[in-house]
Amino acid sequence: MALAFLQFRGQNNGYYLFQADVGTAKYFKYILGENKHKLRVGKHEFVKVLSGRKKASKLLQVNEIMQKLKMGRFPLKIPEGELNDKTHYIQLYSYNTKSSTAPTISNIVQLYPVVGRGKKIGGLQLSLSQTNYNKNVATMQDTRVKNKAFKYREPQLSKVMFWNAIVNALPTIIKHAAPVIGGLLKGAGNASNLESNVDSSANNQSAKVINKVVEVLQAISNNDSNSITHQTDEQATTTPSTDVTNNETATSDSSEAPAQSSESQSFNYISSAYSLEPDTLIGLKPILEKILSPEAIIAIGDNPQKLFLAIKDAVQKTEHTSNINSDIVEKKTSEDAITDVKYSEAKIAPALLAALPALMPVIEKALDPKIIEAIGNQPVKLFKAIGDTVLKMDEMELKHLEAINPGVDSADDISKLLQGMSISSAYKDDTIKFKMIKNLNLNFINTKTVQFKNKKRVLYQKNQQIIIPFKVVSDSGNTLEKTLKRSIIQICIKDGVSMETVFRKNINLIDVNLNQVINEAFLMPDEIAQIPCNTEIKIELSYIWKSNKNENIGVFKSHYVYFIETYIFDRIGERIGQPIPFNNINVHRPYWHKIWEGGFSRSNRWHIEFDLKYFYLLNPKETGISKLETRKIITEDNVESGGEHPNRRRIKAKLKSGLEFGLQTLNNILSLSNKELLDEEILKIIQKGSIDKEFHQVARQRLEMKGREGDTTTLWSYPEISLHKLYLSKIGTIDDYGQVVTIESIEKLIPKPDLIHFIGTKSER
Amino acid sequence: MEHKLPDLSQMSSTTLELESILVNGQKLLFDKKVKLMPVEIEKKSNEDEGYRR
Repeated sequence: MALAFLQFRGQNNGYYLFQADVGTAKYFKYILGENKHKLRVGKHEFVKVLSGRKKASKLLQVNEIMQKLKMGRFPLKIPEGELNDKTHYIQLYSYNTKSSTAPTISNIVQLYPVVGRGKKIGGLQLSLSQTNYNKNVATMQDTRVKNKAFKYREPQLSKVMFWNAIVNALPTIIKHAAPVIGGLLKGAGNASNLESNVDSSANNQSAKVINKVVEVLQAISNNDSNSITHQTDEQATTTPSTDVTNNETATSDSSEAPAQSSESQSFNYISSAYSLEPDTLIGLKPILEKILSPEAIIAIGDNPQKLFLAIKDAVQKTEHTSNINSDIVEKKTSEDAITDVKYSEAKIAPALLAALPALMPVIEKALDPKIIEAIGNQPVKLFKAIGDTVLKMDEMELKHLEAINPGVDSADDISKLLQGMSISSAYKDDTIKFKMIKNLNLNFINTKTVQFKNKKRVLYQKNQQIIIPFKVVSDSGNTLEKTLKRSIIQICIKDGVSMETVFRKNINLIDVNLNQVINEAFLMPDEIAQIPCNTEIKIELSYIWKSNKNENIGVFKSHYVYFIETYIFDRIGERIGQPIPFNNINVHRPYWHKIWEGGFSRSNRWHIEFDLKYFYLLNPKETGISKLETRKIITEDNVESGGEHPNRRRIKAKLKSGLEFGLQTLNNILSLSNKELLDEEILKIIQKGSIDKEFHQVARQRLEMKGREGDTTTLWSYPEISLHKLYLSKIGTIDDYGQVVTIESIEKLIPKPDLIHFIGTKSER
Repeated sequence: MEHKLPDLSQMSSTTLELESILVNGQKLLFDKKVKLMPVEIEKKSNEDEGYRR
């Protein structure tokens, strides 16, 4: 039976390779075309054929002997030169006779864009230049393959690990933070200053804040969960039972209550771990009131276990609290103001810096709730936001911090993480310094969020003017009856990750009635052009005026937003279908990586144990595949340098290697799977976006290789690659402020390695 | 000639040694299949991080 089937098999030595199948047909030709369309061939029947600019090969005859042997299947090679940037598709026609009768047409195969040396992928200039296409480059299947140095490093402490550590250690955090809180409260009697001063000593003082955080975290790191019993014992023997919680310790001694449930054991542990002073407990109250509703606090009662769980829950969900404060600018108008539980933030802000997870309600003062939501479980971002906020704390608060004993900086990981924060702020340079009025709030008005990257976020279109309306209200939400003769809006825009300032402007205003919404905070298109798009941006908006004492005072709040172009990368989603093993040594050769090869000759037998880390990484700046060098460090060797070689050599080593996927590689793989390719616009988004972070993968494996004198062993790897959904967003509608009100979701497919095979081989004797 | 290496990750090293499967002219010792995990990694400059050639 005549048929026509075509499958792309890669590129090699200047040819596109296909597997063709014409069944019993004797002749064939192939068509290269620009477009495809449906052709009606019956009342309800269509066939897909190529259209637009087309180019047909001459009629070719099938090799009859090979046809009998291979059942009509044969490799089809098409010179690369026959294709140009208008050639998007190929289709095979088969015929039974030379006169082209009884044609059968194949499926249409999409060809990925031609990437030559220095050529463009449809207008997108990729960075693979002639200069780095050098002696290290080998062409395999025309997937560009080159060898590169391993120039990556894992962060000292991953954000996920950090967050997990914090959440899991909550009881311990509170235990260690408690004395700090107590100390602060004792010195907080004069902490009623409600204005903050951003002065030159802020940097040093905020460094002390960091030291204190390090101190607490260090204490946590030294007290892991394995030491529960030890801690309980120690508490029981060394701490006098003078306060409420220590009395609980005495009554919960395991020898007196051997049959208690695991829940109550846990309860007792937590209780016994406390060393809280009564006033410290009182000090915790307003903190909890910031993060928990009164009903929740009543429900929790005095059960510390529930309390810890509630804090954890509150932190994770970033619940908001009711405001408690007075109005210092205008008359006290709030009927809802809680008057019996007043406290200044000077009391609790430093304390919460120590008790990290409970910090959320405090930074609500300076951060928009949407920021908190956007920060989610990204502790580093949270830290950075806090760091900037610390600079706006008043002197009294910072003096409290000074009073705390400096911490010992031996928790390197945590310290480096914290010191890496961008605490220094642009506010200290040429920006207008002002004292922040803490019982006033700057509220953004008409803020609209859209579901984006798994969260509700604020998005603005890149190419038009935007307005950020806001209003100044009291802590209790009341509007203010005051007209400011002169005031200034200060807009500072920072990179949401690095906190580097990317744009800043001041807008002078006259006769502003604080009763009204202020619509004068705006950015023009040429200003927005300076701001990176498709990445998270922090907008810090300050509204400043002169006090009666002629001091600069004002309010401040931050937004986390995105400026986006037409398309934006959202996320890599779920896997579609089963992983495809790239196990064909011919077709998938570029994806095979020789990680290590070697042996030992001066011992009768040898044994090497590898602790191997292998990375699959996406490098959107590259086109092809880059095999990263294998880095090795020997951790154990039973041969000393210059020493005698034993009969059996034993070595332990760490290996680190990987393979980078370039942009073009994604389309190569899609093409191999006969899936729709990513067009140039989407490739551009991938190149600009943060997709690489979602793509990066690692495998860690312990492997043993052994042999006799003179044996050579080799360690290879190849991936199993799955197709995943690639979620992109496209701007739908925009409001008058330039905010994106709706976005449309677009789904594509993207290949991503899911599994890796480590193949060990040994030379045959 | 077969170009595809079947998934042999379920076979023990002892079994594979008996099978005498050749890869690139060498005898196959093992095929370990490992699930890849997301990782946070960043490009670094030229400083050494402890691993050497």
